[in-house]
Amino acid sequence: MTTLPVRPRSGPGLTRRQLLRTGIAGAVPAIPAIAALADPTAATAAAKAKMPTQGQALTAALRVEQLAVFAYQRAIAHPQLGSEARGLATAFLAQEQAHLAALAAQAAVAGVGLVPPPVDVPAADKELATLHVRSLSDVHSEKDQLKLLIAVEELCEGTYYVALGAMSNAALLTTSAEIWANEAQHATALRSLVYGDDPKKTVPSGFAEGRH
Amino acid sequence: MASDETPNDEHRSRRALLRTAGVAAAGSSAIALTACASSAKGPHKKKRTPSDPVQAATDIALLNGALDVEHTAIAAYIAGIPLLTGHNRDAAKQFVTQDYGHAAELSLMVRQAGGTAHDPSPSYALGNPSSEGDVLALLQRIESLQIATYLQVLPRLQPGVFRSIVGAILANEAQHVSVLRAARGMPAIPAALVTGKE
Repeated sequence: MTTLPVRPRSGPGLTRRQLLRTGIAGAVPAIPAIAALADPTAATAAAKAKMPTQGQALTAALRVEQLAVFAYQRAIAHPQLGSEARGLATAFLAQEQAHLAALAAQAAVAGVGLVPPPVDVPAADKELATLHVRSLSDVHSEKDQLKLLIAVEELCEGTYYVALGAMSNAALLTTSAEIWANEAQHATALRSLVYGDDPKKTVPSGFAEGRH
Repeated sequence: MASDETPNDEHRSRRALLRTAGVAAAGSSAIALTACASSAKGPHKKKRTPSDPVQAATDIALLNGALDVEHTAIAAYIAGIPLLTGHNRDAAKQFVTQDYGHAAELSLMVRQAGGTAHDPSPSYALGNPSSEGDVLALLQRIESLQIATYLQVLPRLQPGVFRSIVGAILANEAQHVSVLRAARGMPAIPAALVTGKE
């Protein structure tokens, strides 16, 4: 296997990225979503803006990570979570907390205020509802719980998808991309618990852009 | 708001409509619809070429560098798949399809920045893997190289959608690595920050 002739084949059809680039879906995708994370009351104003600021992007990342930590803490406390899922959730909670710490360090450098965690389930649900994610209370089985966590992970991915376009600080960009990649890995592992090891289901898209 | 990634369709809504219809035909967020509608009236078919020619040249060089690594990965998958079995083979087929998508996307971005996309090399030095384990190790090494490359590229790209797209590719390579690590009996997701050096 030392040498191999390789010719390109046709790529997939017109993608969302191609639509984005040609302007059909807009220069900056889903500004309202990131604005809602940064400050739900400012979504309307931000919708009129072309691009979130770096501060807004960082605040949105902090907020979605707080939501993720909260969701994992709730999941681990869920009595119907089996041992395998619980072990995964516990490991991922630690990684989400590490994300928060890394972003908090960047926020301190940038002079961006920290985001408090949701005070309770209704508060978290309110934010999740804004982002079209099911309620933390609407969980009746392990499968429900895992699907909710997948949705939260995809929400994290989508937040970084938008945020990276707005960030200018190189260190913040790199940290955010490293976190984004980890969230995508979480989503893959969680999907494998729900859908089995079929790679078409665990890694369904070549572009891990999540919900945005 | 919807996901391209969830295997079922329960979350597909406005974004899916955007992709299939090209316009925001429906959705639950009036604000989001306003944004999409207004942007749909905006830079239709406008090339996203940086106004700064120096930045354009930088983007072209960076994206072509990433494209070279994608071509290498594709070559490794094509060469390695015959040595894989079962789930590993299925995963590799899925991943090479996705890497083809990355290459196509990067090529398009290079052209949109005003450059010429690199073609694949006639051949690649991939070593002499002779077993399934050898191939998995090779693929993991190349996927990790891709991650490290994209992390180098990202901060130097022009702000905007190019960065988002490259980030989405990087995150997908991280998914590949996690599956390959698991296939090799390694911890699938060893670190909270994915650097390509895990």
